[in-house]
Amino acid sequence: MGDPGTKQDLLSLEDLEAAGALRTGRKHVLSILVENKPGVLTRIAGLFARRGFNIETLTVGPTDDDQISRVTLTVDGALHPIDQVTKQLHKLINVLKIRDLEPEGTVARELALFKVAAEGRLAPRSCRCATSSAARSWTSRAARSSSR
Amino acid sequence: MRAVDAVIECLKAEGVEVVFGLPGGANLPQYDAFYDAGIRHVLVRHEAGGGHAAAGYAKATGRVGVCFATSGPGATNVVTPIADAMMDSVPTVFITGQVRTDLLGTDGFQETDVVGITMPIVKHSFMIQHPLEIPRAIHEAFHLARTGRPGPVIVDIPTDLARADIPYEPVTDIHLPGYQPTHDGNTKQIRQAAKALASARRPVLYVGGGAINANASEEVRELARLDNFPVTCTLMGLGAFPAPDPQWLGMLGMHGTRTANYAMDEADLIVAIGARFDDRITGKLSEFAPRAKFVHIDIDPAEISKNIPAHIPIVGDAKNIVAKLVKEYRALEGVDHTRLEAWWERIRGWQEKHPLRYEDSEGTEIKPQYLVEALYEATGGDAIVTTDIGQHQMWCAQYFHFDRPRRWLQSGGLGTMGFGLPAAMGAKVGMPDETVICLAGDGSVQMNMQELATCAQDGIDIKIFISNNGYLGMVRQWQELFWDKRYSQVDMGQFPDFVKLADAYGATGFRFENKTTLVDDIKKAIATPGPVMVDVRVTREENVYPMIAPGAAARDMVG
Ligand SMILES: Cc1ncc(C[n+]2csc(CCOP(=O)(O)OP(=O)(O)O)c2C)c(N)n1
Repeated sequence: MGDPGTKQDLLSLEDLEAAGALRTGRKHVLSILVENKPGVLTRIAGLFARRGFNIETLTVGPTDDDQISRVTLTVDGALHPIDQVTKQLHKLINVLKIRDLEPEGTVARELALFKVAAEGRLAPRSCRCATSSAARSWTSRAARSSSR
Repeated sequence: MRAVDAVIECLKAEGVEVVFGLPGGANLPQYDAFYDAGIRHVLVRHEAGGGHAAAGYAKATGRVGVCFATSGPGATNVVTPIADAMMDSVPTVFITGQVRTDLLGTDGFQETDVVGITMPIVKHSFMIQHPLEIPRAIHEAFHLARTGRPGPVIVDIPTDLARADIPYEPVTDIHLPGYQPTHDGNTKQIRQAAKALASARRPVLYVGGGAINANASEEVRELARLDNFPVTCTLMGLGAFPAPDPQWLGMLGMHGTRTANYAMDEADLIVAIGARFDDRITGKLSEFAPRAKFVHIDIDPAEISKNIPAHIPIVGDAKNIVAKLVKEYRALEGVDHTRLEAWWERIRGWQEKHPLRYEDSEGTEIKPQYLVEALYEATGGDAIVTTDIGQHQMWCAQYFHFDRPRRWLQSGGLGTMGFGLPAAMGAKVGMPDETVICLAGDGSVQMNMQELATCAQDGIDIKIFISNNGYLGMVRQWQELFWDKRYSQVDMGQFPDFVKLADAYGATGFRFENKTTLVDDIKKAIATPGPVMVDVRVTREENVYPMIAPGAAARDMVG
């Protein structure tokens, strides 16, 4: 853009495109830094409930700065315009920063913990079964003492 | 000093000249501090009255309105005014007492989680956990309430912390890392908007309450004058552009003028200034302004593309942005200044064919629309006007013309019956030299009637005119139009006797029933010193027209 009034000063309204409010159709992982203040999580959860946004997953954890926590949540961009979700989140005074993690630059891992009631001879078998499918296994202290 | 005395110091540092409130157990320490604080305190009769008064004060003056309430029922009584202030972006601070910290969570006497209850309806809230936090929280509350998109902020102070001794030093370094409202609009976008305006053949400026919050009326007028742009305002925006005026299309929306709604329908470019495309404006969203591109100017980025996707979004302060837009437009070359002639011809056609009209009575009967016209005539339009919610409100919006901002004080977003009387009270406290009128409904006025006692005691000189149709009129209208005239629970009869009631409250009461003397009668009532309440008997069954039926498209207006 040049100085005011120097370039072509008219435009074709037809060429203007609307921005925003688009549904991306994919899952979004939002990484949100928040002030570690009472009620922050309630504010976020309440905002989602009120605006009718679904939270698919949610985790909260500390950061290296004890004034700041990190909330990581997943929203379905097929159901909700993601820019509206992030803009509403930004209005919360305790929200410091939001990153919509790009799928390409993000390593996502899911963790599942299975608890198997395996007594006696079953215990070593289920452990073997776990390790052979690249899972790790632990035996609880209670299970160890009962198998003795 | 005691934390409660520090609160007073904070209020003074924030320039607070008046507080509306009512004491109780949990804020007794605070009221001890008020005893000789040297800040005016208006003792309301119900905390809701206090909250709406604070809002009326804020809307009329542009300053932050302040309301104090005790814990439990005191705090829940301000829930409605808080929600109201949130919907209309009114700068307000609510300071509530809370039970002692050792009682928190025990269902102690008068304990309610007011911060929890109000979380969805506040701009922000502070639950005080340590007395040293109090001064900073109060200053941050004022900062948040008045900056960016204004709104209500609540500070909840447990009574034991309020009594603690703290050192007080004025807080001047407010820094909220998560709160940085955008002030200046993006220059590129503003230039683009100027070009779009210059290219538009059927433009409309659509102005909302945000323009008034931003004190942008002068800039809006300047923009409109650049090229004879047609202007319409929302209910909340009335007064942002001087009416009546040749460029004025009237209000738009559900009970707006046909001209304004048709112009939106056929526009090729709509410039929204501090307006949020509420459903009462758009009607059926999918058929709203189908030919238009949108420039959307708003301080709140979340409003942009929330309901209507914007083509040229500009986030920031409307005053600032519109001023720049004017400058950019002036600098454009090759603009055809005659391009709107056909558009105006079309608009004039609608104006001639569909002026606002009603059938006036032949005899002495007072039509409610005429009451508004009489009020306008009797005051010469020189008054601050509040209303309640209902038919009278819409007629007032249609027939009373506002040529300046902050003279028309409304509960627009929440539509709170009972807003008018306490809001007028707050406005009068803030603007003591102005004539302040409340046009009330006979239903609505009873919802905060008790504040007439406050007005009488404090000599708050407001003039209340009740458009008395003996009905919950707007609901009756909907039942007539959409529910087969099954008038369910809308007939209020003639109870109470408002003239006697005014007298009982220590105000002056009148009853007007004659159209032929109405203008003079109104002048007389306004000239009567002290608070006055007038029972104006109007036609019982009258409908507000024109109307976009709920969910219908603007071009299908009826009536
Ligand atoms: C607190 C509250 N309750 C209910 C409503 C729904 N409502 C909207 S208008 C209206 C009728 C108002 O009647 P009145 O004050 O007499 O005014 P009129 O329409 O007759 O002019 C009602 C009940 C509301 N807006 N606010």
